[in-house]
Amino acid sequence: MTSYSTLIPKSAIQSVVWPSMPGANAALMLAMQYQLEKSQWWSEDLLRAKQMEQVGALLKHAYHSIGFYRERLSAAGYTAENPISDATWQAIPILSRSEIQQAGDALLSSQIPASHGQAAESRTSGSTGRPLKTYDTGITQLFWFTLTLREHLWHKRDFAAKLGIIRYWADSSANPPSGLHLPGWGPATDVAFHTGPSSVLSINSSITQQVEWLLREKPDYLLTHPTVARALAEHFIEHKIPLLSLREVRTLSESLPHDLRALCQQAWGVPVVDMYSSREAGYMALQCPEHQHYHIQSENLLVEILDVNGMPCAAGQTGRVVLTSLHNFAYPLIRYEIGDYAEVGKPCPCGRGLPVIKRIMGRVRNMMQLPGGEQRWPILNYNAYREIVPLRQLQLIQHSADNIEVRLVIERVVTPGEELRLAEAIRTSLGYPFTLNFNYCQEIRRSKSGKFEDFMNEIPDHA
Amino acid sequence: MKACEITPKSAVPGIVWPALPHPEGAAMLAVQYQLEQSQWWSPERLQEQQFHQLQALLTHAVTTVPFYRDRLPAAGFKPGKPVTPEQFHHFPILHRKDIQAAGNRLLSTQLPRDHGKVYSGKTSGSTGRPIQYSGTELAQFWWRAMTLREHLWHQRNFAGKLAVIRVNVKNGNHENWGIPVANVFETGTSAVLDIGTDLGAQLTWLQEQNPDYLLSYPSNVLALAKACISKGIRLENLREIRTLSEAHNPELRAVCREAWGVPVTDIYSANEVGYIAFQCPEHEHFHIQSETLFVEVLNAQGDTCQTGEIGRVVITTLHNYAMPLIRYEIMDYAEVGEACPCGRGLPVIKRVLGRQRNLITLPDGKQHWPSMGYGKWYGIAPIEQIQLVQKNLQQIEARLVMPRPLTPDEQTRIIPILQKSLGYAFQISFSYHDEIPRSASGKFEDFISEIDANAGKQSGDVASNQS
Repeated sequence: MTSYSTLIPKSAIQSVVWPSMPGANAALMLAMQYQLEKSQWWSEDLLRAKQMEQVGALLKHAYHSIGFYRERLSAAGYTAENPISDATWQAIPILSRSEIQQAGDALLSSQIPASHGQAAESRTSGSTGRPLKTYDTGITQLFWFTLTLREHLWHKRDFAAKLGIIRYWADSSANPPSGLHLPGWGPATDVAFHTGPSSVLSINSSITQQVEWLLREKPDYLLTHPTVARALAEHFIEHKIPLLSLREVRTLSESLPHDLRALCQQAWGVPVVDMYSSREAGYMALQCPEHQHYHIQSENLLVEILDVNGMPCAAGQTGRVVLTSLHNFAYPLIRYEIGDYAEVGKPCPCGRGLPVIKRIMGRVRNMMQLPGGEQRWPILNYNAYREIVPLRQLQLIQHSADNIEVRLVIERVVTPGEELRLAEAIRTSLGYPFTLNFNYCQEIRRSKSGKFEDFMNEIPDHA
Repeated sequence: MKACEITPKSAVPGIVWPALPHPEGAAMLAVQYQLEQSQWWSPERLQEQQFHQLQALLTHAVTTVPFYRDRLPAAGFKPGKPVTPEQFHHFPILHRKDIQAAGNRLLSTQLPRDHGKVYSGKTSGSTGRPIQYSGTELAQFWWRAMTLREHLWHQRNFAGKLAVIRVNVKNGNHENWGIPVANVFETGTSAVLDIGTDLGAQLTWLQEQNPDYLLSYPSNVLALAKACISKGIRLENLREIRTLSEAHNPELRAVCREAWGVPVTDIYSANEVGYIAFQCPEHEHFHIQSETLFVEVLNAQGDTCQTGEIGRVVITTLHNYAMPLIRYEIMDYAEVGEACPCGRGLPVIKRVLGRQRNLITLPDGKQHWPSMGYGKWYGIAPIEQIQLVQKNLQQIEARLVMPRPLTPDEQTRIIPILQKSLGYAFQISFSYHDEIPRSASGKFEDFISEIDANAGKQSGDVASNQS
């Protein structure tokens, strides 16, 4: 039950309780929400028109203050004097991750407007090997917060409740067993609303530590990676432990396995709300408040999902995610191919005009390759595997077109018969009779940022 | 483009959309964000929040306003303690005469600094009892916030031109629609004309301005619309008429549609309390602005009127800490409406019927607000303006503005029409005037009773034939 008072913004004037008179920062945050409340219902055409107004301002800035873009935009036929046409837009080359890595500070604006705040360096995790260095500003930070709050408001969270977080934490303050205790949910919410406490546990903790922490902290909401949520849900199911406080699992950072929603329902009777974000571009898509698909955050970035010919995908098609961050005037990312694949969805029956992504498939490196050259998103059927062996962790590494390494963490010795049956189950779910090499491990480590990928394509030259 | 599709002004270079407004704009939108939500709350939840605010206001009043120091505790209020609607209902009514008698004792001696500077004003005294009032910058902020809400409700196109004909204004043209909108959005221009301007000159001015929106008083709009119909003048750009300050002539909407093909949107406000109710965006009745006022409509016994009942409007201002008005009887009558099908939980006033002194008293003591549809006598004689004054239980004076006196034949035809609309065969005398002046606030009343205002109250029987 959501309590009324927590949804009234904080008032900066003590004697005015309602409606609230927020302070300057809170007012700005609510002014943003006011706009987002409206724009979410706009038609795709109107959203696109507004985006292109902002793109116009961004391109002008990039053209005038970044040599890299001046060259690139000129070559595409862009002139700062004229509004950008669809043809010119399409002619702007796609910016790859490696181009950014190569360009480095050449992508940094020489004239960041003072009111955008200091440019601050930001590094992605480098789970692909090489970290990506970009720059944020006060403005991009504000949009990050704005969408964080939108996501809470969309899903009607009770701000008085307790938020539990298991994720990567930069210092040791959130280490197990006790983790970190904070008075609020974080700056995005606390600036405008009174919130309950939050508890944070580093993702570098064991499942046992996580379970103990959850039972002790009793959060109402749990924010974590899908793989952590899966391991926890399986543990709670297996040991028949209740966690009555929990109302919702929130996931981020990894692509959502198809069976996680059902597992969380079974374990705790709660829904999963997923979000799609990245360090370098912020929130890209948030789960619809009424459906399980995602709405692109068109107020923050222009997202294109392109087929192999560079043309926009139609509903039902899967393509490369290419994005333009609309407000980063320090380190503009214009038509940046982030490396993810996503399936375009149909317009949402909820009525929001924000375009729909049906599924986020993951990175190119998570794509399976068949000997004929065909590429597919692998399907792993954990339920079937678990019927054969007590699996704790699984990771498949594709080394060549017909060879896959199966890394396993299992609580006991596996018999040859079980291994044969498991191999058969894996081949069935992947849909191809790969040669499988089993490799039994003590633990399969996450990347530095806490990400866990259960299928990695390591074929040399895999795009 | 509709108001909900217009991007606010951005204060940060390079950021066009979504806008990053400057602090004043952000403060205004932060309030609109809340108002967008609260309008859909249930009446119960709205009242719950009102009483949270009331508790803060009442505590302030008891501790810093001499007038309330004993008055509220005597009625059972304990500072800092919650007050229930039942308790509040037994607090004494604040009459105009109380305000006049209290003088500075109604002013807070310790206004919180963050409520800003204090301003003062005086009501027009159209009720015969002008009152002095004071407000704060914070109360003014709410006035502006509600002004913007009204625009947003009615989806006005801010790029359009706004024409204003009202009292106490300096004629001229302005770059924008004024602070409440211009602090947040780019707007078109506006033009202002004093209501004292001769009707013919108003018409010429309107044709020159060719506005998208016209804001004025119902009586003035009615006169303009009639003149436009008779002279065949169209105002091509006009999209909407906005009216304020006077009870509506029931035919106004139809006449505006006939004259210009546009709807009328009415506003119910008063200088001393701000906006009381706005016309629903989807219907012709009004929604009380519960976020800034607690409004009661009370019957003769002081009980809350039910749907369909007409009663006295009693107002408590929620945010004016300089001069709190607690259960202030503003001397208007209104009919309580049923819950609005639009879904807004803000309570509904079906009609604002006007003041006590606009009530006609029949010889049997019954009272009602007379309806004087111009359509009934229009065409019989070239009457430009009419005002009826009840002198006693038998006699009505009809004050007329017209190029020549009525002929005996015209009198014979008009008298029965007036008698029928008044609901009794009064003796009617005619007087002729060059103009019938408005009150200092610009209000024009087409019916004024000179009978003792309390005479009708005794009967407790207020009805209306207005429809």
